[in-house]
Amino acid sequence: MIIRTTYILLIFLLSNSVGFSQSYANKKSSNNIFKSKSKTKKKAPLSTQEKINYARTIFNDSTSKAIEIIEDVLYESVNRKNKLDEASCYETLGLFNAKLNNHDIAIYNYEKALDIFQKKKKTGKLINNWKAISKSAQAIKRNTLIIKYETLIFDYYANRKSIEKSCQSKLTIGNAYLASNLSESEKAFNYVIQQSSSEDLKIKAQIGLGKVAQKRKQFKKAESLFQSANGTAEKNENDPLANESFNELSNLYQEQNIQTNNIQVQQQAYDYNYNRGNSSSAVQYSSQIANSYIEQNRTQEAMEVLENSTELVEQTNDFEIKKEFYKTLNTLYEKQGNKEKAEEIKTEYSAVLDSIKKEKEEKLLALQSKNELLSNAQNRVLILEKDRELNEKEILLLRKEQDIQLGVIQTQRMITWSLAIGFFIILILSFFIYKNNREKQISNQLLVLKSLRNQMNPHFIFNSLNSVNSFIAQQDERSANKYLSEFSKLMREVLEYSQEDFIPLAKEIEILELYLNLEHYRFKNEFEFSFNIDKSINLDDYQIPPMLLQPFIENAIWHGLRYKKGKGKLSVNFTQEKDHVAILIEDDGIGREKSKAFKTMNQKKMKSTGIKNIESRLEIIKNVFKKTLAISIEDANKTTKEGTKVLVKLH
Amino acid sequence: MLKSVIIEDEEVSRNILTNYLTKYCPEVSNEGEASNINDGKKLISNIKPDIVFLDIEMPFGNGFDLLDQLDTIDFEVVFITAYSHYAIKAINLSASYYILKPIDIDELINAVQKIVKNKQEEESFSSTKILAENIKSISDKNKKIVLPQLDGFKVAQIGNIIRVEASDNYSIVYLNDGKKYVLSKTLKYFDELLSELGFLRSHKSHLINLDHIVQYKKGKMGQVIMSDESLALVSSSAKKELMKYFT
Repeated sequence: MIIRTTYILLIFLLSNSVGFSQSYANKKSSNNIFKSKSKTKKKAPLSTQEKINYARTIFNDSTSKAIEIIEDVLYESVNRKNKLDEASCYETLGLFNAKLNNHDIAIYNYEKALDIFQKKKKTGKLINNWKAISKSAQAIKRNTLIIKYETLIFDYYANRKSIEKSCQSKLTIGNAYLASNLSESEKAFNYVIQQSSSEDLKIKAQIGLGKVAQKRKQFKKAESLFQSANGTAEKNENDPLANESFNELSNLYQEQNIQTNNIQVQQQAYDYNYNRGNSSSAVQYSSQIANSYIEQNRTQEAMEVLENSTELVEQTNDFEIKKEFYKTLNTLYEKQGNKEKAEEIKTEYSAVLDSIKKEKEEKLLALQSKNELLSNAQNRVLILEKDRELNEKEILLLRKEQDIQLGVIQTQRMITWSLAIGFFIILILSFFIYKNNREKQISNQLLVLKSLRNQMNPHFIFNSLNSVNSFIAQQDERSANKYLSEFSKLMREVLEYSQEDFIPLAKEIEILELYLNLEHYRFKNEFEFSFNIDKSINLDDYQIPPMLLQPFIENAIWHGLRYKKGKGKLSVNFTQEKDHVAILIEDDGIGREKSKAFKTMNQKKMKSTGIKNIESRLEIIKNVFKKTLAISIEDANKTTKEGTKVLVKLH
Repeated sequence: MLKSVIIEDEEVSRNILTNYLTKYCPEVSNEGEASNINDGKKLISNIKPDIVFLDIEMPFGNGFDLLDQLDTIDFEVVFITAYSHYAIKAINLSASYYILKPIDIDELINAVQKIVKNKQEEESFSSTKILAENIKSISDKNKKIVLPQLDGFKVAQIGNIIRVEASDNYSIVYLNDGKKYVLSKTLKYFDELLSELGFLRSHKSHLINLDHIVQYKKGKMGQVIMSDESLALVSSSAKKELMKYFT
């Protein structure tokens, strides 16, 4: 039964292990897919950061080369899964796009870079990107973006106690809010005025506040703010700010339709710029003044203004301003009906227009070629990204597959293990059960063995004691004493050793000799006996179950020799053979067959179990102690079937 | 003076007995010795002894064989045995005499005196005869048991005993003729004698002849009704044995 279960379990285990190796192979092949995907690695002689920096420096002169480098680096870093390099590439792409006024794309790239930097917790990199995004957003007036990133920038600098920089960003926030949230805007500007120590920023904030007031139709407040800003700017000789405030004032008056004030402001602006030597700005303002006069049909005054500026026009290189000037002059001449002059100016005007066109076209061309390169690169990057997305999906899928496979392997492993453990437990259990059974069996057999252990035939005991009686009756003290001593000695030995499973051969021989002597005394007339022990036998080397030989001798006397007419002979010989001691008990009694024939029914009722007992004992001894004792019984004389020969081989 | 012979195979043992008889039993004379039953038979027919001292264990047939082979028995046997459970049972059944080896002189004297006394009273009863009958009878039921009474003996066929009941240290034997006999023997004594002759110890104090069971009544304590309509108890441990007998 146990063997059968073992067999089934083994088959189970084997089939399982085959399944296991298969799934293992699957796992291996899926690993190979991963490897082949990432095999397109290239070695970088320059560090990626160096490459990126190099690309940035050469962008203006050699745009295509710069783009190529960035593209390469990007591919490389994507393949190498170097996220930081990838982010740097995006940042650079953003920068390039911003330079080519592709602000939307620039912002897209910057935000990508930003995303990675944020994930990688590279705070140092964040500020530059915020600034870049804000700058591009300002360029295309994306107010929400501006506010978002400038707030970040503001917090960044505020935390670092960099007041001017934080105020700068607050100012930008204020301007962005102008379109959507005037109160936020006002708050921002006020903050700048309170916090900043920079006059310029304060002026800008004032202008901002003015704009807020203007939008709220608080014209007086706006006017005073613009004027104050203007004053400070003039005092600080900050021309751009001065001009800005002039412009705002002019706008304010135009909105209110206060032409006098408007012209006055424009005049002030002209004077200021004229004095400062800003010919372009001066020309610009003179054009504006003239236009204002033209609107009021004050052609004479307009003409005066323009004529005053003719010299300045020659000095300026700004074609736009020139164009504006000639356009105004042309309009003026046409109004006055001075066709000749108008025609003259028109040619001048168209010449300027041409130069503007030319300049613009040149710029456009340069931009276009660069843009083309960049947009191509950008497209490739997009493709790369899509590719990567796909890749990631694929990888994700493979991972999932792998996970499932791993799960399967794990359950298989679990099953294998639990089966193995179960099998092991069964094995151990069956071993213990077997051992227990065996022990039980052995102890049972030992018990049986004990019960089978030959005790002296009570007949012998009492008959022997009766013999002592005879000495007493004869008043033969010495004989009685000797007989009783020998009998006691025999009893002692038997009692002492009958509990053992094995005793030294020497002891058994001693018991036999005592027994034979005593029996011989009783049946002196029936038999003679000889007892020979081969001197070469090392008696200490052999062990024998106690009282194993005695029954054979008893049988020889009682069933063989006692029936014989005349004296019989009994010989007990111990001889050393090659690998055993041969014990031969031979008598010349009537033989087993005749002895049996002599037995009457009544005698047969007295059971003689001596030999049967010995056989059972030897069987158990063979089982328990793995010791075999060969016993053969045969007739001494095979023809007459007389006498008995018992041969015991003791190994 | 009673004549005696000794039939015993061991010379030493014969010598002892002869010695003791001359010393301690003056009312008995030793008329001869034999070492086996064939010689013994001749000796008996020659001497016609009153007492035969007979060893049970001997080569060429034991003591019972001798009794079996004799046609008439007009002597009393005193068995001499070293150890024989089987033989002693048979001897007890007929209340014959026996002496265990090593011979106890008092026992020897006692046995001899009893025989002398019986002879003097001229009792017709001979336990040896009954023993010989028992040996010869093939059926157990026809075997006889001697029930010693204060005033003599009652011999009963084993088949006629319905049951034996214990009463303290006495036992009451119920026979199928309606008579009962009180004996100064324990029930255990009877159990040992009769258990192999169709009797069952159904209860601590009941030994029943299985042939005389008429009815069995189930219950907490089982009961059997015997052929004389008397009741005997059956303990739970004996129930199995009882059932085995009837199935």
